[in-house]
Parts: sequence; C-alpha cells; structure tokens
Amino acid sequence: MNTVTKPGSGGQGSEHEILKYLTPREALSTLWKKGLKGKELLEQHSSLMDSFIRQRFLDVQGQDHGAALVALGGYGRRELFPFSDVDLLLLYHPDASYRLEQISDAVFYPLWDAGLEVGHGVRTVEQCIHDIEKDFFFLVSLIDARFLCGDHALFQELNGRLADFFSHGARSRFARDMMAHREERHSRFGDHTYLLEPNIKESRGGLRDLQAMEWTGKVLFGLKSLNEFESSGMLTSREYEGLQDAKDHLFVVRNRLHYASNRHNDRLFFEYQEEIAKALHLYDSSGLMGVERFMKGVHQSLKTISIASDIFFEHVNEVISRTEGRGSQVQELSSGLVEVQLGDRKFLGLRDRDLAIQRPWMVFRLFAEAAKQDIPVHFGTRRQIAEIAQELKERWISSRRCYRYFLEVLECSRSIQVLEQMLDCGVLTAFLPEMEHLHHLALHDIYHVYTVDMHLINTLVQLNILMDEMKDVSMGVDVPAVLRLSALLHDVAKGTGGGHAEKGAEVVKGVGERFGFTEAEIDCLSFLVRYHLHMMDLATRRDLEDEGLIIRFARTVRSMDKLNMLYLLSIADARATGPNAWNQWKGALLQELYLKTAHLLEQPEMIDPDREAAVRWMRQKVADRLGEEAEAILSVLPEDYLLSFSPDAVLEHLECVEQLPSQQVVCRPEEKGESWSVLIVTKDRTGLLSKICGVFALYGLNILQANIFTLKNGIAVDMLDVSPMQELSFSDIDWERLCADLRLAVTDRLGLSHRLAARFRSIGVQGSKPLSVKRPRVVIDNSTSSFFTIIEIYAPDSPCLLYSVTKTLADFGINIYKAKIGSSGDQAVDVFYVLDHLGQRIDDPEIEQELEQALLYASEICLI
Amino acid sequence: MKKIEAVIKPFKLDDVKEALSDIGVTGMTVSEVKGHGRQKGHKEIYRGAEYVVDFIPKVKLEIIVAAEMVEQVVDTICKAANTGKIGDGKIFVLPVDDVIRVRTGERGKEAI
Repeated sequence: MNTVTKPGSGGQGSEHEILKYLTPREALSTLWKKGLKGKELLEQHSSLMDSFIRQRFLDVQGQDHGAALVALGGYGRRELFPFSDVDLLLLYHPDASYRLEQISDAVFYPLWDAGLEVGHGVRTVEQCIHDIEKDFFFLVSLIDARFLCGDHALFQELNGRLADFFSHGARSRFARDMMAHREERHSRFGDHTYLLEPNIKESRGGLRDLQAMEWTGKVLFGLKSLNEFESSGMLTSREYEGLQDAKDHLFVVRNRLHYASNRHNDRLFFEYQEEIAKALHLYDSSGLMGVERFMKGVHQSLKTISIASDIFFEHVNEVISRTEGRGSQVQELSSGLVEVQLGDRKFLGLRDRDLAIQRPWMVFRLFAEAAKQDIPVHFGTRRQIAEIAQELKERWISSRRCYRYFLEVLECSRSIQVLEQMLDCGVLTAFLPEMEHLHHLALHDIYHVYTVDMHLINTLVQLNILMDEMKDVSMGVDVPAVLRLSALLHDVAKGTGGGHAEKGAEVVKGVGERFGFTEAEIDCLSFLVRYHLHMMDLATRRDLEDEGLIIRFARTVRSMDKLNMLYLLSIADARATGPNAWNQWKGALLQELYLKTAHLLEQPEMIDPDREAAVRWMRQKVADRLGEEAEAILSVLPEDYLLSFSPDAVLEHLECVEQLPSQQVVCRPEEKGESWSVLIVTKDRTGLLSKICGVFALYGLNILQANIFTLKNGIAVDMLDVSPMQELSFSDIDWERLCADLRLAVTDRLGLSHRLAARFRSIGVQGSKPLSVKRPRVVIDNSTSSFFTIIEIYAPDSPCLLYSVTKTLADFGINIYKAKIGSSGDQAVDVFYVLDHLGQRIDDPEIEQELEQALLYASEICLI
Repeated sequence: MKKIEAVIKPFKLDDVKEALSDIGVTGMTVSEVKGHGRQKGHKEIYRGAEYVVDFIPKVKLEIIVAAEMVEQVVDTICKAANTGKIGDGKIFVLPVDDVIRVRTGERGKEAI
C-alpha cells in the first residue's frame, strides 16, 4: 500500500492515516461531527480531496511530464462544501495524449464511485484559451485555478496565457459580462419565494455575489483576496469586517444546510431553517422564535454582501466606463449636491463628506431630492454616509430640518429605491431608532414575504401609489403626513411578543412628538397603528349585513377622515405583504365595509356621543336585571329599539317573548290617560303587520301611531297607539276577543278581506271629501340605508289605509323589519324599512315601479 | 369515502371550523371563491355614485371523510353556517376513489 502523501495535504498525524481509508466525504463527515466548522471544514475537505486525488494520480503517472491536474472553481479556492461539485481540469501537452485515458480512469472513476459530482474537463492549454472566448463560466472557473499535481510548467503556461488574454482589453469585457450575468441571476432568483426561503448561493447577496466581487477584483484590479480589497482601499475596514463576518456566517450555514439536506442544496427551506436554528442553539426568547433569530442573521449577512457588491459593481462600472472613454460627468447643483451622469443613468450625491459633518441635514436634503426625482444616490456618497451615520445620529434626531426633509421623502417615494438606500446606509434606523430592531427581521410564516423593515417601506410606497389611484378617497384625508408616517411605522412593535398593534400605538406617540405633530395628529397616528388590522379583520371575518357591526365600526372611526385613512392603510398594508395578501376578493369585502360605514357617517346622529351614551345606559340597565343571560339577550336587541323604550318596558317585552311558546301572540292593551296603547309580541312573518292592522280595523280602532321593531331573533315587537273610530270607551272594546282574533289571523285562520269589506260597507260614507285633498305619494328609497329599502307613504289618513298598504306589501312577499306609523295633520306618514322575501333590498327598477303603482292604488281606494 | 365541498359566507369560516373540530374533523382545504347566485352582489349608492360588485365573496371548504361520517359532517356545517338569510351557501357530497398520504404512502381510510 502506497502510503506516501505529498506535502501540503494537511495531515493530522495518525488520525489522518485512518481517515485516508474513507472517501473524502465520509472523512469530512467524521470531522464535522467532531465539531469542525465553517472555513476550517471547507479547507480540511479540500485537503482531504487533494490527498485522495493526488494519490490516484501518482499511482498511474510515475513522472511529472505532459499532464497536470488542476483544481478549478470552488475547489480551486479551497472552498469545498460537503456536497459541492469537484471541478477538475486535466491539462495535457498534445504529445502526451496517449496517457490520458489511463489518468482519467484512475482519477475520475473513483470519484464517481464515491458518489461525487465531478467536473471532468480534459484540455490542452491551447484548447483552454480557445474555449474561454465562448464559455464565460469556464473562464471564471479558471480564475480560481490551483495546481494539484503533475507537470507544474504546464500549469504555469496556462497561467501565462490567461494573463495575456486579460491584458489585451478583455478585462472590461469580463467585468461587463460578470455584471450582466449577475443581473440575470438576480432576476432569476428574485421571486417572492426566494425572499422566504433564500438560496444562499444564488440569491441577491448570496455567496455568488461575493464570488463575483472577488473574481472581478482579481481580474480588474489584481486583488487576490478580500484582505487585499481592504489594504488597497477598495473596502473600508468596517465594510471589510462586515463582509468577512457575513462570509463566515454563510459558510457555516451552507455547511449545515448541505448536511441537513444530505445533498447539494443551497435553498433554505422552512424545515431546514428550523433545524439549523436549533443546531446553532438559537432558541425562542423575548418575542422572537429561535428560527426568526436565525433568519435575522441570515438576512443580515445576505444584505451585507448585497450592499457591498452593489457598491463595488457601481464602482467597477464607473471605472471601465472611464477607460472606455465614457466617464461619468459630474455637475454641481445647489450648494453641496452634485449630479452624476453615467451613460444613461443619473445619480445624486454630496459634494464631499465634510459637508455632511458640518451640516448633517444635508444628508436628508439629498435623499429628499433623490426621492423627488426618483433617482438613486451615488455609491460614493452612500458609502460615506454609511461610515458616519452613527456619528451624526444624535444631530439628525434633533434637527427640525431633517424632519421636514424626511416627510418630503415619504411624500415623494413612488418606488422603494430611496428609502431602501436610506435603510442600507443606516440613516433610517439612526433617525428612527424604533425601527432598529426590525432590521433584517423576517417573521416565520409564509404570508409575509418581506422582512419587516422592507415591508414597512413597501407599505409607504404602495400607499403613495394608492393615493394617486384613489383620488376620491385620498382627497378626504386631512393630514396625509400622518397617514404616511403610520404606513412606515405600523408594524414597529412586531417581534416584541404579541399585540403589536396595541404596543405600536404607544410607541409611535413618541415619534409623533419628535416630528412636531399636534396632539390631535399624534392621536390620529396612534389610532391608525392601533387599528391597522381592524378593518380588514371586520371585512373578512364578520357579518357585514349586521347593522350593529357597522354602527360600532362607525363609532370607532368617528369621522370620514379617519375612515379614509384606515381604508387606504389597510389596502397598502395588504399589497405590501405578499402576493396572496391582496386580491379582488378581499377588495370587494373591504369596499363594502368602507361604503356602508361612509354611508352611516353621513348620519351624524348615529355617531352622536349622546346617542351612544344612551344606548350604553340602556344596555346596562337591562343587563342589570337580566343577570347571566344578559349578553345573549342583548345581542338580539337592535339599537333603535333600545332607544325607544324604557328599561322596564324592554323587560316587559322580554317577559312576553318568554310566553310565546304557549301563547303564540301576546297582546297587552293599556289605557294611558287619553290614549290607548297596545303591545303585541309575536313571531314575525310576512304579512304580520297587515293582519294586525286588519284586525284592529275590524274592531273599529284607528292606529294613530306605531313603533314596529323586529328583534334579531325574528320576534316582532309592536307598540301601537290606537283610538276608536266611534265614541267608545276602553272597556267597551272586547280586548280578549280581539286578541283571540289576532291569534287566528296570525295563524291564517281568519278571513280578513271579506270581513273588512262588510264592515266598511256597513259604516258607510266617511264624510265629504275635503276639497283640496293631496294625492298620495310613494317614495321607494334605496340610497339612504345600506341595509333596508325604505318605503315612505304619504296619503290622506283613513281607517283602512294601513291595512290596505301593508296587505299590498305582503302580496309582494315583502317583509317589514321596522316601521314608524304616524300622521302629520290630515296626512298619514308611514315609513317602512323592508326587505324582499330573499332578504335583499328591492332595487330592481321594474319591481320598484310595480310596487309603487300598487301602493298608490292601495292608498287611493281608501278615499271613499 | 366521500368528498364534502361546502361554499359558505366568509365570516362563518371560524364557526364552521370550530364546529367541525368539535366532532373530530380537523383537516380541510380552504379557498377564497367568487359566488354567483340569487344573492345579488353588493350595490351601494354613495354620494350619487353607484358602486357595484358583481360577485359575492364566499369561502369554499373541501373535506374528505369516511362515508359513515357524511351525515354528521353535513349537519354540522349546515348548523354552523346557517344565518337564515339568502346566500348561506350549499354543500355538495361527491364520491372519492382513493386517498393517499404523501409522506408515508398510506392509502384509503387511514390516509384521511
């Protein structure tokens, strides 16, 4: 057994002796379990692989001439992840081709047998140079080429030819190709699903972005490692350290991910997120789940790399444009701001960083201008600002001008560009420290695809777009600045453990004060945050046909101003949450709630605090007497019913309701001085009122006034004021028989029509018709109430009017829910709140017309 | 085995889920759907302008149950989703050929 191993194979003495019997991957697994991680693990893996391969090569290739094995790509960089591909190049001299098959067999087959994915290119130096012209990815893999074993001179030759290639103008082309591929990769891996479950290699800010930086840095500037990026000034120390940490972190995560997936997988699926969080000892605490802590760290690393590579490539773009003779043009604008034109792209910047230190508010002025013109801030300025953000923080927070400019940014942002740049530079979290803890925070659910900080920025942008689209709503907003700030801060208390709407409402008060808002405006800001979920919640989970619900909501918002703001905020929030959070379905429900509430707010008495207090008082009084079942019983009593009776009366009604099973109709007449009142409680049904009117007419009683209510459980409570058509006293009326007949009529066992006809014939003519009799008028109103059709009848009063009209309604299958019957002088004024037999409003124009005609006829035939 | 499809009013979803949970049915698929029927879409006249929505938002539940449970499940849904007003919805019962659990490969009643 050949036990000689070449130098540089990273031996660990006797342990290594044992390990060399296993495949490199198995050996790695053993080391991993012993606690080796991150970069060390990768380097160890490379070393083990190196030994394995070198051994196989030496077994067949006695001397060094004519062939060499070269490690490319990740393997070349000694970044061999547990399930990475092994990218190998078998470089040969044309004269040595006869030995190739032997070497390939000896090297490649064992690797394949071990289950590895092997890049197995076999080329001469000439072929390599030829291929790099057409295959960009091959060119890139050569940049990381590392000699493994064999003919070193051959490898040197390759390097020399590669250097030649680049020195003849191919550098710029390489950089441009790199940038183009990067763009394409970002769009391919930029979908929403990748925000939730990032691909830590290919997603924006992933390891590929870092590699792209390193390759371009090597080719363009000769920087051999990240270290040299710092020493050459391409990166500041702060940037370098951040980048190094991010790289190390993602290495650890990628290792774990490969092992957790047990294959080459770079996608952080949910189940792996949880598994790795646990493995890294990240547990639930103070409002955040362990997995959320983990992902916060991942998003932070991704963001760090993303920002650094964005800045780097913008810089690269400028450099090569300059060498191509199309350098950027800098134009000074007003005091301190500069405009940079590069090709067809424009950027805004600060003249120099001292300006920002002398006059900190200039930074905010810059962003305000950028937002107004929707152009990005130049990378050079962004980088400078990022360096001094912490230093200037206090001065920004205490500067009146900064708040002014910030509100301009909020007002003008129609894209996330400027606010995202403010976030990335550290300006946003410095100016609004309340947002600090939301940075990179991703909540663990599939619904919210953005990290909270980005979601808030998106909400603000969506809001601005909405305000343009929905002008009739946005014009009804008094102070848009408050609405915009609420959009940016509505989730500020997320990740602090439960009840983020309530908590957030308190937190934003302090912010409102700093902005110099009035007390009313601060209240409004707090209100919006507190209720930002409420409207959508009601719309999708509550019965919008319950008038009581709408009334309660109207009382919560109190004004059209607040309703408009909450409506816009709700839509913006949903649109900014994710692709499934907003759709036509939700839009229809939310709009219904909005319109019904707006409608109600037009009737000021509904939100009159006195009325509200009166209702509350009534409910309390009734509840006091009811005891345990109070809640259930109160829920069926409509508001206007409660406002029409005393607590005692209500209790009497309830007592009647209890007697219904045995009695069917409870009828209680009472003499109250001059007027007689009759209480009728029974189960509501179509035609009930007409039957009641009919029976009373039969007994010669005029209904002067009536309050008709239907409780939500379908019980009718009718309070009638009656008086005799002829001179009779209360005791002259056979009330018992009336009640009995009422019972019969209600159960369809009394023929009212023929009896009434007989009765009125026997009475005879009522008296001479007044000369100027007003014609009856019928109004069918579908616009005043969202819940009922309102039918108003104005007609000369007469004994059979009510029966006639209500009978007609019954004939149409129309149900009466509320009614106010009365008269003004000679004229009867009857208002009915109705719905058709399906429970819907009557708004078919043909039916409306038919109904109107029928009711007019019914009113007229009473004019004898 | 049978598939029960129920189209109900959106705000009744929680009530129905709870009622089903009480009788031991916890697995179901829920989707937001648009309904068309005798119930008219919402129409509102506000400030002289007419706002019409020509569909009615509904929620559809899909549940697979053993045949002997069908009556009980249908009954439960009916009671929980009922408001007595138009638009309460409909329930459909369909036959099911087979049910398979992806994770384990179990088939038939065990996979429900």
